[in-house]
Amino acid sequence: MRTFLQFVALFILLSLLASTTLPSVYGTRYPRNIEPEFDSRVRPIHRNALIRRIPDAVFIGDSTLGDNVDFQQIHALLGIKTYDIVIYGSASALWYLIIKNNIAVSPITPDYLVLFFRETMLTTPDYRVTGQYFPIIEEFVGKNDDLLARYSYLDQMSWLEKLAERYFPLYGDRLNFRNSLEYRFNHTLPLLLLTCGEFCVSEARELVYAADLDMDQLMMEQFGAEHNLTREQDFFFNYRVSVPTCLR
Amino acid sequence: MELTSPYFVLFFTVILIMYWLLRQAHRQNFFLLVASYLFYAWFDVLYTALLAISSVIDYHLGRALAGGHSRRKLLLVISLTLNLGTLGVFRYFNFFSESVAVLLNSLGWRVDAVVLNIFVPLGISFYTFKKISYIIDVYRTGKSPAGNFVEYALYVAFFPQILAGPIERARKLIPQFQQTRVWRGEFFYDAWQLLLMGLFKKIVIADSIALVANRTFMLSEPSKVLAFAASLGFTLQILADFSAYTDLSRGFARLLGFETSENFHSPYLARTPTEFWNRWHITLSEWLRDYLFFPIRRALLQRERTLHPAFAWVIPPLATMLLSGLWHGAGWNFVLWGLLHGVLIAVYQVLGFGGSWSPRGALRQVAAWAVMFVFIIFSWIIFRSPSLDWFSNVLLTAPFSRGQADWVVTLASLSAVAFYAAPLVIKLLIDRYFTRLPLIEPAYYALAAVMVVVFSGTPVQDFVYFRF
Repeated sequence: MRTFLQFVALFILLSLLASTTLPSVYGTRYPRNIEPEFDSRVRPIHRNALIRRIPDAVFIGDSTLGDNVDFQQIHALLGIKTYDIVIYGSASALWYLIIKNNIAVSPITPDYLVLFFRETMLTTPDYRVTGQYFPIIEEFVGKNDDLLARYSYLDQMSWLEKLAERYFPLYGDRLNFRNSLEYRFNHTLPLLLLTCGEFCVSEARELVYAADLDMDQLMMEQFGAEHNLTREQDFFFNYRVSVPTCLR
Repeated sequence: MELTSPYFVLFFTVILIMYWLLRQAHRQNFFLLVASYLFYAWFDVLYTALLAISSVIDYHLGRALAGGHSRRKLLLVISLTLNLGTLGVFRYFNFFSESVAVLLNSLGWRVDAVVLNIFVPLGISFYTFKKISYIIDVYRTGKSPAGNFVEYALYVAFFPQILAGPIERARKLIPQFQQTRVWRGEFFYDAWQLLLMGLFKKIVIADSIALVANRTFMLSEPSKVLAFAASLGFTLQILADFSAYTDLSRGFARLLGFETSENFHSPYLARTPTEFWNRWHITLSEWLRDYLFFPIRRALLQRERTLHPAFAWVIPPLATMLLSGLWHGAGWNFVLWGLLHGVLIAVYQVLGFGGSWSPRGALRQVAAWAVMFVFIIFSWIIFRSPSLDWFSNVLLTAPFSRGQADWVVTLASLSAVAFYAAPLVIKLLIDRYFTRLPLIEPAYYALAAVMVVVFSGTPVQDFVYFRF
């Protein structure tokens, strides 16, 4: 009982200490704005392409589109001109932004817009979790894309997380604090023994891990997982989507 | 529904409140049984049926055994066949099928392996071992610890333990089910430290160091220094990860009023292989000792006149640890890992360092510990290797180092291991020497709680032992 009460008291004390020091160390103001801050610039690459090419249909999708659709065959069968936006591993947030901020605002409006995706397909996990997905979103998001902010960022947090992010510096600044700690954890020995700092360690990691990564093994693991998670027929596009005969 | 997930916290809170509102043991047991099946069904409904059916069969076999059935041995054999058969089909069929196919192909016969496309039911190794220990105990004593089916089924499916143990014995858990339980404050005061340490070890230590270790094990042929650093990382990861699960499991069980078994007792301080297994995954070690090691040794000692005495020293540890390796995974690296431990135990015993042997003098103690620790790290490389080929490549053909970059990455990994291991070492020192000093223990827990907050909010990885 006594230990527990002492623990609670010390935890509160440490939290208060962190709440006063972390904001000044990392330059964060509380209550914090937890919504993502987007700039007003949007990359108009697809808008411009539509003006240039004047297609009849726009196809957007992930690898389902890139690897499984024969564009020449479609053109030969239907006699229409298509503009294809293939982004491997992409998902709804990105398609939404491209449609809203590039296609819908283009003076050229194609007759058809087709989305290609397959919900059973796995994508390389580190594409999303290590943040490679976010820079692409940044390219197409505008300043007032509230819907995206809500669905892709704010709704991912519970009310408790939002509250903690906004008012509790220990939680709000945890990533900054964690990064500082991990920097020390990872760099102390290389710095002490080899005078090798952040850049040097990062370069060494790049050299060791990127050069020798067994991509075949990685792909085999991924295919193995897909094979276990889905039935054989799920891999066939025609089974998943009732595609018009002309497209088969 | 991981034990660290908000869903589980919500699930457990509801269960806890409703459970303590019930006043009678049989109602509490029935409620916990339903909760346990709901928890398991969250992962897979179909395999919940497997759990239920196998529990019904084993319960009735146990009752018949306790009731003085005339063909007791046959009943025991049926139960063992069913349990080991189920485990074999789900966990080992593909491994043996593929291994036999490889062997036959190497002999010139063209054979394709028959492969079952099935998932291994979560926790099957843990609950099967619980069921086997129950049935063997009933066979040996002629008494059934469970008074009714609910008690037995709850013993098998008890949700804090079903995914990754501890492999509790019926004689410890079932008598607790039979007692009337009323909420006492001490349940919480015992539980909070376990729960906090479980979260701290999992979120802060195990998941962070996993990132360091995993990257090297994904390389096709890392140099020896890199493999050593990764193995040291995995040595820390697997201890933090598995003991975190045990702490959480024990903490949740304690909140429900139960005292469950410890699974770890500073295993890396062991000075001999026997001592290591008395400190590592204690409930599995005890299971293997009682149901494999001792029976094999007894059988061999009874044949002392016909067999060389060395057999009684060498065969039991080899056989037991080989099966321990297979229990951990269906792969040749696990077999080799088990065999290595078996050989170590046998060699230490033959050299006179088995049983309760302890070196005299501080220097010898340190030397014995250092030798054993090197063996432990080495054995974890085998355990964690993606394949035996990978391990043999690292051991035999990989260079010691490929240059400056390898040393930098190795030092960075060792640096991370040292920092992440420090809290566990400090905890050990506090528990041993500073428990009487005021505020030391609460201060440690407060810092641990702060670290849990700082490291929270990133996806938590599966517990390593869920795979077993």
